[in-house]
Amino acid sequence: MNRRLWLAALLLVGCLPGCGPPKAIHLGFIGSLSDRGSDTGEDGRNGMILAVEQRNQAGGIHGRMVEMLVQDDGMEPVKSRQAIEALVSAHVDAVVGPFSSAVAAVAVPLSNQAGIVMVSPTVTSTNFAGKDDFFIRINRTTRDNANEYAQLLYQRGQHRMALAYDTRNASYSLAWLNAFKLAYSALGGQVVAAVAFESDARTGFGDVVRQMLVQPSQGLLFIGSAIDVARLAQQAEKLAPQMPKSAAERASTELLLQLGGRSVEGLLIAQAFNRDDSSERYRSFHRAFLARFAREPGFSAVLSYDATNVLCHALEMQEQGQSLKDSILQHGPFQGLQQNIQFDRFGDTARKVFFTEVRGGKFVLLK
Amino acid sequence: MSKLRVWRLRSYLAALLVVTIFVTFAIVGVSILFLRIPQIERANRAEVVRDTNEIVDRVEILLGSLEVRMELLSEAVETRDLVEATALLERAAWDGKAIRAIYLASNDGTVLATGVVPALREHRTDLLGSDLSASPLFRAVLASRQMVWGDKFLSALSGAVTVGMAYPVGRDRVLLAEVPLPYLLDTFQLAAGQRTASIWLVDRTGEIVADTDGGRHVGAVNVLNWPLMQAALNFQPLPEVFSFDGRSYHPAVSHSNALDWYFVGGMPAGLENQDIRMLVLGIVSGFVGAVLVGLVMAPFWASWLTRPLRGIVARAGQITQGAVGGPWPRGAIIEFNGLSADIEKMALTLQEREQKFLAIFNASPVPMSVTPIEFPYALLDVNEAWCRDFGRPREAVLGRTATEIGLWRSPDDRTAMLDSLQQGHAVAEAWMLRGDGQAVLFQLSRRQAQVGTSFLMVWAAVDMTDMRRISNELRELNTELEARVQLRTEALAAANLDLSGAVATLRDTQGELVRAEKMAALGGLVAGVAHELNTPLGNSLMAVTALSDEVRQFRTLMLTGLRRSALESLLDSVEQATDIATRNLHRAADLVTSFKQVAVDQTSSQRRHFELREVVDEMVASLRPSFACTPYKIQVDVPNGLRLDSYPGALGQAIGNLIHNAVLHGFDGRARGTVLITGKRDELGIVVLSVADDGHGIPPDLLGRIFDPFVTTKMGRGGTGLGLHIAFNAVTHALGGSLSVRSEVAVGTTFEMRLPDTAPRNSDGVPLA
Repeated sequence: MNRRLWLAALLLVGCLPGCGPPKAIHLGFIGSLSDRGSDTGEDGRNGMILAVEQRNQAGGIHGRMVEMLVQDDGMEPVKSRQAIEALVSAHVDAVVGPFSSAVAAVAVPLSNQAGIVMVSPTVTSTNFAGKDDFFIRINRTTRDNANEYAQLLYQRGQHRMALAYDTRNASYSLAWLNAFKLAYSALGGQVVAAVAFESDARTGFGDVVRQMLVQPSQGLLFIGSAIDVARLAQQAEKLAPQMPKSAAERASTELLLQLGGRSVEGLLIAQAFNRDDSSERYRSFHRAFLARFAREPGFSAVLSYDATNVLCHALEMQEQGQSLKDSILQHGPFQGLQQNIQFDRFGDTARKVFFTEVRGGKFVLLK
Repeated sequence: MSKLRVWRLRSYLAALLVVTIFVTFAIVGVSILFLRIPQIERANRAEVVRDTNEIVDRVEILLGSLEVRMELLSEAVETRDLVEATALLERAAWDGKAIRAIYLASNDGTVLATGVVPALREHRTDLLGSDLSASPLFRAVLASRQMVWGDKFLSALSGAVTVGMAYPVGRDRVLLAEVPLPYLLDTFQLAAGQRTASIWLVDRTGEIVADTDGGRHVGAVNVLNWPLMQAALNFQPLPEVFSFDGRSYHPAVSHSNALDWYFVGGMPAGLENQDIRMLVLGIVSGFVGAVLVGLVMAPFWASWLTRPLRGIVARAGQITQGAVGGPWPRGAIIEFNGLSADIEKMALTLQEREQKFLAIFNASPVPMSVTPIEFPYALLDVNEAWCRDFGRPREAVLGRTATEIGLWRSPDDRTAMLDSLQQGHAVAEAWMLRGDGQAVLFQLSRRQAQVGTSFLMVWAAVDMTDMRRISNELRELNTELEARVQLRTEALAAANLDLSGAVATLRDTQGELVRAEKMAALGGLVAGVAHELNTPLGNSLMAVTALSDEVRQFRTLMLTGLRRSALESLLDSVEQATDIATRNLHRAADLVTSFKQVAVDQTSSQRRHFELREVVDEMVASLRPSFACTPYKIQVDVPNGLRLDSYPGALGQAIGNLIHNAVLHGFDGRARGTVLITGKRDELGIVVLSVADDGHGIPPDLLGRIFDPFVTTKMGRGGTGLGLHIAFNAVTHALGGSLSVRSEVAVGTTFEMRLPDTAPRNSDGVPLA
């Protein structure tokens, strides 16, 4: 009698850890959710939420559910460090993020130290390219973007350009600026002004535009977030209504259209994805996103969705004894929303961009 | 089968009390939980709904002041020019707490005048002429022409997260104000106060704008697709419980019409709810406390209750130990007093009975002792006979082992005794020492006895010393007798040896006699043969001699002149003589052939297949000459078809001897006699050959011995006494058959051979032997 009771108790104790649902896979998210960058951050988080929810609905990864740990980096070093440390101490399996090069500069060394794979949807700075580390990028580099901008603008007859760039995200904007300068001057173009500004409430954006207009030029190019570009465009519209305007791809969010209003009409800007894509894959994503978040997906959502899916696929195909990083690098190409994603041995990838112009309050693909 | 666990009454009562407390509290506690938890949950659900509604009301009241400000501002601005309007707007945004920036915009979205916090005032002109037409807030106010609150958004001015509000100014313009999120959150926190429920402020897109948990959930999740939100958005009943972060909550959702935001309240459900946790904790503490108190109190109670009983038990224990007399305890409990009295009575009865049995034990003439059933058998009791025979007082031996007492004569005796017992012998003998040191041989027998549930060993010791002495003497006598028998046996053996020598001599003599008999038989045979051949040869000789005389006469006649008649006479004589000689010589030749056959069969142990009749005929033919000059006849009646695989020589010899016996003894002195030889198969298929005569018969006193050697009535008158013996040997040994005899004096004797179809193969010896 007693022995049977003990056996039952033993069985129960043995069963408790073994009989529960399999341990969940934890994916961290690091992005800006509280500050100026919160438009891309929130958008990216939504992209990840959708990917994770769809994945869990389809049965998870080998029956294991995926859980998200969301951390706000606040677009500043101290908070970024706290955020990434929180993810490391929570022993997440991988991280989606960060979304800006400035945060990446803080986060990448920490994640490398902890051996946690970090897949960034939007970071493009060349500072992180060509390195054999735990940092994987879904997006192309700023150099590629800047090169294409230089070529397109030059082709459009803008041979003298005035630029403004944000020093708060210097890692990104300087890299962009330098790459552009190099490519543009190689083509024979001339950058007549490169005005630095700080993405800040105190910055007078009228002054910035005025400095850009000191030297005569054929076009204005803004390198900054959507808010900055909107405000610069508002000022440019007032000070030089006829001057063609362009903006680096980072600003290509809905917020740009909302804040820019008429001033961003005709603005040339590259998109990391094709908003007019009519493929069923994209349409169904678009539908799901709209239904889930009651708003349009931005590039950050699309890239974040791709990044999360790459991670999930790599985790699914990860073999015994294989690191997640090796699984990502070896099991490509991955099916992205609009294009295949193939990594080189440094975890870098090439991505097609889509140049658009703002027309009638919308991003319209250039033919 | 499990053994029943035995308890002390005190432990048992204590356990009973503790279990009673345990069960009582378990039932009461569980009942309280079952009754109380649903009540608490109902109250919690009501509370979270009340809280949430209250917060919405409060927030709306607080924000209402802001709306009133906007309305007043709108009225004031409407009639002023832009410079005055700007001044008014500047004042409105003066402290930047509630309104950080305020814009007056035309209906096409162009900013006409602004007021911003003083810190940003230097760039105010940047804002003039900016286009707000794409802003969702602007569009909303333009469409509704009334007070509108917007979603949170990033301020174009500061880049900070902001909430917008807009109000129309007249018909052509609108006022748009940026309310910093912290202001809204402070308002929210103020309205929320200290509440047990968690309350979230959720915007239209499902983003958590603020929470009462210190902002932990802001930005971390989007709750738009939660069943809770979907139910609220679609005006459906909310789910009972929702889970978040691994915890359960009772939900409440309230919609702020002014803000068009949702206030989501969550009251921790189940054990996470403080009231329920406190209730459960209280009940568990009460339960544990009661059990602890029970554990402390129960032994005391049990001890107090069982005290009278323990007195009775102790007294009973004393009685068991052999104490006598003394009063039995009496106490305050009637049942225990009754029990005490009963046990007292019982103890008295038992004591009497014990004394009776002790008297019987002591009266036993056999020394007896009682020990445990296990080695080393310490003595528990001995009777008086034991004390007497062992010469030791009872007190000196009780509780001690035999070794301790010094009962053993030597350690070897002890070891031998123990070995014997271990081998399972119930009885063993050992030399032991009496109290006076004299060694005595005791035969110890033991028997296991069950006394109640325990087992004891009862030993009986019998003094075997005298018995052993007598037995030793008997053994010595026996030994002497055996020696005498040995001597006699040897003498007899010597006599036997002498006799064996005599028998051997006799056997040698018998052999010589048999050889002599053989020679005599051979002589008879030769005489018979000679006699048989004598006649034909004599006839032939006589014919030839007569012819020779005729020839001589004829030669004489030739000298005297030969006549034809003489020649014819000679020729007749020659013819007659040759005819006689030829016939007689043929007869002689036949006889020789016949003898040869007999001789061959007789002298060899040749085995062959033969017809019985042929052998009988041949034998009779060879003997017939001996009968020729006697008045006796031989008749043969053996049918054909009796075939044997046997020794014809031995058979012939046996038949011959039997016929000789008939002639020599049966017909002795008689004028006539017939020997009848008959053969047949009996009903068992065995060949029976009998040789019968109608002679004198054999006297009964001789009949039993006639096949023994040298038994004859004609000793010294021609009989050797071996003929029948030889015939018997031949039939029984060589032929494997049997020979029996029936005889009646003056009627005749019949010998009957019973012969197997196949003689045994082992008869390699000469059948005559």
